[in-house]
Amino acid sequence: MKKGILLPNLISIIIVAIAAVIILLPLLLSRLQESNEKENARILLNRLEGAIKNLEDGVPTPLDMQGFAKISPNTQWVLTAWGKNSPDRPQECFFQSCIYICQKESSNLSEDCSKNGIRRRIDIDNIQVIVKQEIISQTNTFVGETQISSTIAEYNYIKIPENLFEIKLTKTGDTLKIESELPAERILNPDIKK
Amino acid sequence: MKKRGDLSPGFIAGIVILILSMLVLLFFLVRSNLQEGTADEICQTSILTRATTPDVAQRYVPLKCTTKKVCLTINEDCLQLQNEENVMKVKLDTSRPQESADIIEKYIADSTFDCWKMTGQGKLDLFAVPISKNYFENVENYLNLNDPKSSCIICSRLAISEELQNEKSILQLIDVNDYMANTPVPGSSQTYLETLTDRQVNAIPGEVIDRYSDERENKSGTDQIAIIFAQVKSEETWKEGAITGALHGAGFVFGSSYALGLTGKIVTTLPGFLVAATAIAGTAGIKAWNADNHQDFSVGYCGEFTSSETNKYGCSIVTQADWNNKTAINNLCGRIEGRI
Repeated sequence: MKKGILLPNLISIIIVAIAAVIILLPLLLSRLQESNEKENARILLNRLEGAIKNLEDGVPTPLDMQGFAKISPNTQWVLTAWGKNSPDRPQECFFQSCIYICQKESSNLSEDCSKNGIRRRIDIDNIQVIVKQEIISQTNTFVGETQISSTIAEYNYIKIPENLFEIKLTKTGDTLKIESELPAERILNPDIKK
Repeated sequence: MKKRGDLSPGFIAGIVILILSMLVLLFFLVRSNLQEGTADEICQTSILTRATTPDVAQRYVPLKCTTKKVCLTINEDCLQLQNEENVMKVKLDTSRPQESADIIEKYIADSTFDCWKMTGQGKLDLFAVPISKNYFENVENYLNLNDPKSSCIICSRLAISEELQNEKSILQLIDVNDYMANTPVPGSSQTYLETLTDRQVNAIPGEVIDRYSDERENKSGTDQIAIIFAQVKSEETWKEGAITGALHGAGFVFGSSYALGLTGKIVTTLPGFLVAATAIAGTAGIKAWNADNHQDFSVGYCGEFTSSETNKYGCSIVTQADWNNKTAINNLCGRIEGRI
């Protein structure tokens, strides 16, 4: 083999190797990230499932939950659920109620959960997730006064934080309620100077 | 004929295979299922793996630490821990109040000490800033060491059963500070306080107690405490931080230079918590860990972290928090790893 032939070959092989590393490393890290977050979601769901199994009928039971550190700041994991008669439930629930922890990416939670979620089927007919949050907004009136209004927003999913959160579980007959309260959020009119 | 300088295709293929093997090895190192050994060993191994992993991959090494749950009781179970698994029940004898108080002191001291030891005495760089899925999109965030959130591990939860909350004879005798200052660590001739401070401190500085008594005197009691390890990073060195107070972000409550030893270690006592279910016993939401005396013990470190990379500065602390006050814990811990 002549030196003149080998050198270009060697350079191109090294370039290919470096390119392979550049391409493979993010893929590898992305795969690790996904599996770590899914494992955390699974642990959280196991804890919730265990608590649901031990519920006494009609007795509200608080449960301490620990969210998990997100590797990517762009992902938002949520806890949600569908009853067995809910028409929009993911098809993976089959004929049962189910609880999901999934990555919320769009306004179609059912589709998001179906695509990228961890699931537990639950033997209770109806499940409701009720999350309340006070929204305090400040706006300017025509006469230049500041008006403060407060509304209660309600969601059917719990955003999983990176630290602690509390939920309240209540099972009454064939219905399970999973309730949580979020800290109040202030929305300031951009015209109002702080 | 092979000439000098020629590289065989086999050699080149070897290099490529080597690079790919390194990637695969990295994958398995990070994903290794550290399930062998006791819970403490698993936790410690994961901490060391995390701390020695380069920054770019640090977040992908999970911390496999599980919160220890201890129920201090006379006989019954702790209701606060009824939904928890692997609760250690510690039975106390009402006929021997001093002995029982010593046992409670020992559990608090050991929980704090073990947590501190497990986390590399606060010197290990454990929590990297999260990076974006798109690695080039959030470079600023990645490089920003001054992340305002502190990250935590909840090492232990210690709960007092309802029946023990009424045992004033035991609870009134608890004095954790005294225990830490005068009791040697098992297997050592040094006290907890000396061990935690490299023998720099053998009595808790009065100034520190004075400094924090005002801030903490209004803290209400609780029937469950958590022993928490918290870490925050800073772009400053610990000396600058201690002087300017700039390291006091993210809920850190300990002082600047008061008890800062030569090696950058901090020892503070924060008045609060333990002792006497006396006055409030029997009322709604019985409180056993009280806010009457100087009982709450925290240990911290500010300085350079031991890391796979240099110039990492920040502060670490192991402190106690009221488990029933999640808002306060969340204020201290922007991010919590491990599992409760």
